[in-house]
Amino acid sequence: MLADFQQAMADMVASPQLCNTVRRTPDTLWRRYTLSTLEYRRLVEIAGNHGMNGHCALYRVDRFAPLALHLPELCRGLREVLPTLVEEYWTEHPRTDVNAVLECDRFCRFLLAKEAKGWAMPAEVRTAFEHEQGEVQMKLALNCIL
Amino acid sequence: MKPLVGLLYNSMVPALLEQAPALVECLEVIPDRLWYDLGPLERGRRFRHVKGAIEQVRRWAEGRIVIGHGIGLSLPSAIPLDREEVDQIGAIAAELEFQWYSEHLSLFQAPHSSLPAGVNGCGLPVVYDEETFGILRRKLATLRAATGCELLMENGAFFAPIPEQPMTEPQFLNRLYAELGCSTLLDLHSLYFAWRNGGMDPAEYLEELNPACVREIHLGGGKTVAGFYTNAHGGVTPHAVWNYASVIAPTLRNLRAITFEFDEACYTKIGVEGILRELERIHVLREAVSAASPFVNVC
Repeated sequence: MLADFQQAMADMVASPQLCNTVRRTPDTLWRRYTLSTLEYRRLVEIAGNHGMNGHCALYRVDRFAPLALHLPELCRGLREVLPTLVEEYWTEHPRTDVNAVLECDRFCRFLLAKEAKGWAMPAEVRTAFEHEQGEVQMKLALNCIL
Repeated sequence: MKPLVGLLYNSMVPALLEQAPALVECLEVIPDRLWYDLGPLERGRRFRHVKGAIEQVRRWAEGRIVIGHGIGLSLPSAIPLDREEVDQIGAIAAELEFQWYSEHLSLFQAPHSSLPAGVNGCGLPVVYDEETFGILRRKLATLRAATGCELLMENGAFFAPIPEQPMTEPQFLNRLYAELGCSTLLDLHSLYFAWRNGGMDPAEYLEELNPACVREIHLGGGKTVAGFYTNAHGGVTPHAVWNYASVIAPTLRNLRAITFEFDEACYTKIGVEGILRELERIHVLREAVSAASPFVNVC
């Protein structure tokens, strides 16, 4: 069905791991999605297309760009834990937001929710987090959103 | 009728217009950039206008034509149309008096996720079949009623095309025009980008496309991101794309605007002079279109 076909394409772009899994084990598609034989063939060919590497890379660059732009010190401070954190964030929030400030506000809330569940924010990052989250909230407040 | 010379509106455009007001006759506005969308759960307060944004557009639109260019509806998606967003677009279309409204013939939303849909964003390809045509038929009727505008669909820019298609993209666009009265926004850089990624040969594509479909042309450049050439509008229009424009534009009898797109984040890289030069070349091109000359030298 078309909805599943479209979802499978979106999932492969968002996850290079899934794309690689489909390349190695195409039958993964049957287990995850309801597809016609034609849709299955199309997805297998799309997964194997070299262009998918570019699309996966662009997806990650585009999703990361708002965070790098509005939360630069936080991103720098999180260093090696950042990739794991953004992966987790993207999995939890698979819908992107065209507005960069809203996307950053959501990421900050995600970190706070993780803290509430026991994740320890590195102490040296705390100041940058509070400062940059404050700036994001200020931008939203100026537009009467908060 | 002479096509208008247009510029996609972004935060750097006012500075350009101050320097060369006469070069731009038409502003293309992305309504999604004028609001914060807090999501469907925020009943009654979902859309909040970015403070001063509409007033600023209105100021720079004085004496110019305004057209709308959407990035958020993902019309070919097999999901229901976001009626609240459509109504919001309709309100902005009325407020800024959009002459027409365009959306993308590509997917930015799937049932449970979405792709970044900004200027750099690259959508997913569409199956050009009866099912997609039916989805578009219903959604375009709703969008047309809400905006009161003529609608255009823009050709896609894809990294990995869908194989075994029942129709080619130009055949699909021809049908949208013939059966639904939906014109084409022909993005010539997208055509170039898609061809670089295994899509149709641009010459064959332009041969297949009914010239009467095309209302607007997009010009712009790409950018290399993470080692991959992308459709992000981070540079001036490549030579090959100007060549397509010189050949096709004079044959498009319904062409109303030729619009240059650039990513505001690349404003410094392209440079003011670079952007103004692009606009000047578009003026040369449109003179040739208005003279219906088959020979254009914009290179």
